[in-house]
Amino acid sequence: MIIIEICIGSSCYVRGAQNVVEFVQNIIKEEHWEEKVTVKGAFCMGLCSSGLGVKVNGEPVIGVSLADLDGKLRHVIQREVS
Amino acid sequence: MGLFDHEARQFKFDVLREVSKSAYEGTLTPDIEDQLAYKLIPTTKADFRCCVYKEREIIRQRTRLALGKSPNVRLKVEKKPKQIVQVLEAACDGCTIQRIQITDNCRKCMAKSCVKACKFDAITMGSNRAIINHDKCKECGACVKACAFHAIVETVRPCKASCCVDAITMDECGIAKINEDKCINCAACQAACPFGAIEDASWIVPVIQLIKMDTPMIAMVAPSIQGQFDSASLDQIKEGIRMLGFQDVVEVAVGADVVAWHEKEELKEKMEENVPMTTSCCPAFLNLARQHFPEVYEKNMSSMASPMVIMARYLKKVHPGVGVVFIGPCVAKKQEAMTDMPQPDVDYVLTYEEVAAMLVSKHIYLSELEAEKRQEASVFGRNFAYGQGVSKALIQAAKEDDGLTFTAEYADGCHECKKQLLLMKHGRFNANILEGMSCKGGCSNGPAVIDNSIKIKVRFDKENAPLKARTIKENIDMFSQVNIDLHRHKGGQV
Repeated sequence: MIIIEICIGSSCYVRGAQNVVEFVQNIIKEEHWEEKVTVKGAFCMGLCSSGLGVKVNGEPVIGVSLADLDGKLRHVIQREVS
Repeated sequence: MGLFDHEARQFKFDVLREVSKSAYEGTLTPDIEDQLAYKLIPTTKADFRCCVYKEREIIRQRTRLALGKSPNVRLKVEKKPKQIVQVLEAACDGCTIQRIQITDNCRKCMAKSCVKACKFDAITMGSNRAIINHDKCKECGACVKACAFHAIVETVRPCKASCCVDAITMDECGIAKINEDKCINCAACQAACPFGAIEDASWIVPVIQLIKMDTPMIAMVAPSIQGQFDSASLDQIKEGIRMLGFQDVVEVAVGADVVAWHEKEELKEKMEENVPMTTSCCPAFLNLARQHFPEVYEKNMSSMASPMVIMARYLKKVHPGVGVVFIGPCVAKKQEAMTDMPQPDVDYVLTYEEVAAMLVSKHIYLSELEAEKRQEASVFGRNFAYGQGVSKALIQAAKEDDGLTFTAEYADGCHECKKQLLLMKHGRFNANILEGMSCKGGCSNGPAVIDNSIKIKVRFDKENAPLKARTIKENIDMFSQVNIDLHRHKGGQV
């Protein structure tokens, strides 16, 4: 099981963490990964200075921004799934 | 029937309730602003403001603030997360009242003391009464004092009058503007505005989202919550909040016990050095000192972290990985929680108003709940909710320990806080400790309380009367087993 933790701390929320949650939930639906991937909420991971806080299987994904969700995140999750 | 007599506050509550409901149901869509505007203002006849279009725009702005966003889209600037208190431009009446006005009481008297008192030649005698030339008037107020009939009045906008740091100005349209460098987020203006045009940004949506994702979170309730919800006991309130989706609900008053105990130690040291000390639990008072009296902040302010922060550190140490949400009557606490980033001690702050909205949206009725009886804090720690309560807890802590005697001065409300800090700055403060509370009467009269503070006090005293046997020391012993930093982190600005 792949665990994706998304920071919903105040700083990330202000910068649009909600969109990250929606984005990840949407790809899970699109790719039918319901059995393979779970999304969890998390608190500040100390990643505030390097983009939005996202961890995939405990590994921080550096430099996540709203503008580049598809490029950054989909790729990382895909790699983990396959 | 609504919860609030104040119609604007009821609208704020209605918006919070609807947003909370949608967030729990997962139906929060980008058009929520419009949905609520038409749901809450369904008629074509205006009941509160000039027209339904204005009323709906106010609801839209309230909705944006309830979502934690900037209420005003016109300015196209993102809200700074640290600035909690915001002006709802549509709701602001722009009450540009001339500061000095002559009323019907003017008898066109023969002394003409107002004309003589005016050094700027701004007053002349008209056919019926004195007339002010507002282009010349410097608003000095000399004429107000001079008139024997009290016919000249000095009026200040409520928001401006309530602000002790002069952070409110008006833009060219008369709409209130907050100078964010001066603002201490005390929310005195929020409490003062008769149109409810100044409000606090809310974090209910991310908190509900975290709850829905089964994130483990503990809620901590401020002591002033006792008695806020009609006849519901503290245990029932805690049970109700737990049902919102929290793993556990604890009393911040335990942290207050710890603060009282250690602050007394620090006071002893300060007294040996012959330096007066101030308390540090009220975040608006702390902001006032830090931003406007930096010398006093450095030299005199207690180094203790607030009860909220101490309790949060304790919980995070005992339950690693847990999120901590503080629930209080206070707007400045929202900002306090944001200042220690990254890795904040407190993850989110909600107010009683917001929690009430969540409870109503989930149909949880507190007074019907079965709850286990549990006393965590001493009554002295709980008394931090009331003015002079901190001083009393310090006296009690001294009594339980080594019997230190000292003198305390209490500053009631932000204007009084400012005065006492000024005295301290100039070395004219005469007591050993200054207890500063930015809200008059203490936290129980904070900007986001639900009920009238006198009614709350009656319920609070009744519930706590049989519980006075517990000492402060008992909690200190429990705390000393867990190694946490009890001091405030320096700096840590966003």
